[in-house]
Amino acid sequence: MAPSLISSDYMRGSLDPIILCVLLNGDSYGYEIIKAVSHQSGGLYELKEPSLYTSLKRLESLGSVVSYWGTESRGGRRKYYRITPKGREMYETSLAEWKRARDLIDRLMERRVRP
Amino acid sequence: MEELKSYVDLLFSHYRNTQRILELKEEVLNNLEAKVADLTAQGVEKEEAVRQAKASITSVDGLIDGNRLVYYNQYKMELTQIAVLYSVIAWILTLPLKIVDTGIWDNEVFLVLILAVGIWYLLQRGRKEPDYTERTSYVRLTRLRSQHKATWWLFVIIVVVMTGLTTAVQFGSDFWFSAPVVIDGPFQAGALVVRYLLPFCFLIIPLLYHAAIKLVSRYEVDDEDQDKE
Repeated sequence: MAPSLISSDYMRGSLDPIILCVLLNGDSYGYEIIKAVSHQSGGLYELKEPSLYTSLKRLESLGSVVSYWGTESRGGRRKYYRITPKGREMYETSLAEWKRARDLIDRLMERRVRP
Repeated sequence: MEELKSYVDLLFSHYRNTQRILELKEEVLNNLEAKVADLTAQGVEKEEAVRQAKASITSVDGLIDGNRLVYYNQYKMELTQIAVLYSVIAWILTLPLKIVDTGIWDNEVFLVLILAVGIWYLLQRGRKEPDYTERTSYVRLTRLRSQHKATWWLFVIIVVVMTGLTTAVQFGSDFWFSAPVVIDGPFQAGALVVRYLLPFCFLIIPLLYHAAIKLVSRYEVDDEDQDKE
């Protein structure tokens, strides 16, 4: 584990598009999404289970993802999630918004010495 | 993995097994099993892997439809205040009943209620530390609603049964022994009316449930993302 993980406050607002981003690479289930996020972050961020379920529930109610039960049955069934066209749209919007906000916050927070 | 299964059962033990709950349970369990399998594959001891899996989800209250995160102590305080208020009203309303019929109990019951709840309220009110006032917890609104409904039914049953009993006692002699019922004077009539009014004291219970439900939205935590770290 990395010595200091990124504060969850910074991440909270972006969890939905982060999860959508994972699903862009193909249908996935809960633990696999957590693994993918952890891997993508280089071990710097760990998506917590309760946050994952909350996000997935919200995304599903918004129609951005749909869920279905897998057919493999070693033990219990596995619930998979698939991104919908609406989800793709939401992802693109969020990404564009994030980039604009990031540029703005950079400009506002980085200290410059006035000439 | 029996241990994980019983752990997940424990997490959900407050909830009735509806279709939705069963599916969520299955999903949570499956993901925890996947986590344990993944950790053990990386060389983590089985026991440690199970411990980590359990630690990754310690509550499911935030995932259940109909649960609302509220500032619990503030919510509780206002509800207590309302309970005191209702008891005072009930106590005042039952005072004239007591004059007519000294044998009834409900006036005293409300007095005891006012004192007990009132003292508890005053003791708690002094607590201003943010840890206490800002504490949040989940209120199970779905369950509260069904209990509210149940208390109304209970109330109706109590009224019907007690009215039936009163009628049997008061007018039974006329019916069974054909001894006419004698109501001589306004005092006896009053006492009879009191007997019929008595069961309506139970109205306070469904009314308190009603208040408990209405208050939830006032103390709900605004934050969209209610997950705890």
